[in-house]
Amino acid sequence: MPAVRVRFEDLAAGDEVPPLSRMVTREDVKRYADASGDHNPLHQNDDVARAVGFPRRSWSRRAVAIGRPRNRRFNAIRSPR
Amino acid sequence: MPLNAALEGKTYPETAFTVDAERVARFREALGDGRDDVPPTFATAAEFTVFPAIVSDPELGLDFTRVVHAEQEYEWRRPLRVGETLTVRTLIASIRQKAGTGFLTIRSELVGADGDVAVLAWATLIERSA
Repeated sequence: MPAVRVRFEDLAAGDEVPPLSRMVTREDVKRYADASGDHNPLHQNDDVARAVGFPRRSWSRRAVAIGRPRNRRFNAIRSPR
Repeated sequence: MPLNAALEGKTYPETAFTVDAERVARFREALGDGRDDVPPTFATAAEFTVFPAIVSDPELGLDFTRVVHAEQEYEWRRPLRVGETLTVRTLIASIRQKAGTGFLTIRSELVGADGDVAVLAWATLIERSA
């Protein structure tokens, strides 16, 4: 599903942002962690993730912050598990 | 060891964060976002300039190996602009403990050169029970 362009100026309270569907790869996880400055090894290294009880490196929830603006305030949506 | 709830309200040293064009481009690429403006969630990169000082604060008693990101909330007053330098002011908004799990909410103000807040961000981290 392609991303929909939404301009900040056009948002109003109660608007709904259309869903965005995307396959996330391991490379995406690392690229996002590097670009955001999130150096938690949970996002970088499968061995670390397994050592603390995850099946594999975890995907930062931040990257999928889509939601419903309410006074130009978004609630981040939980990433799929 | 539960989190030290006495640290609610603690502020951390301000940091300066420049909205760097190259970094914005890498961030957009990671998101698969082909536009040419600053993605709203780029505010995250500014938050991360202060998080290391918080999660490693010996007074807080956080075991970072058990931390996961639980919730994120933003309030945008205006979009961020490439090239601007923001001052990041951060404090611990709340600390809660429920059934062995710790909940830490960090509030960050991203302040523009005019002194006005551009973005407010709340990040809630969970410290899973040992």
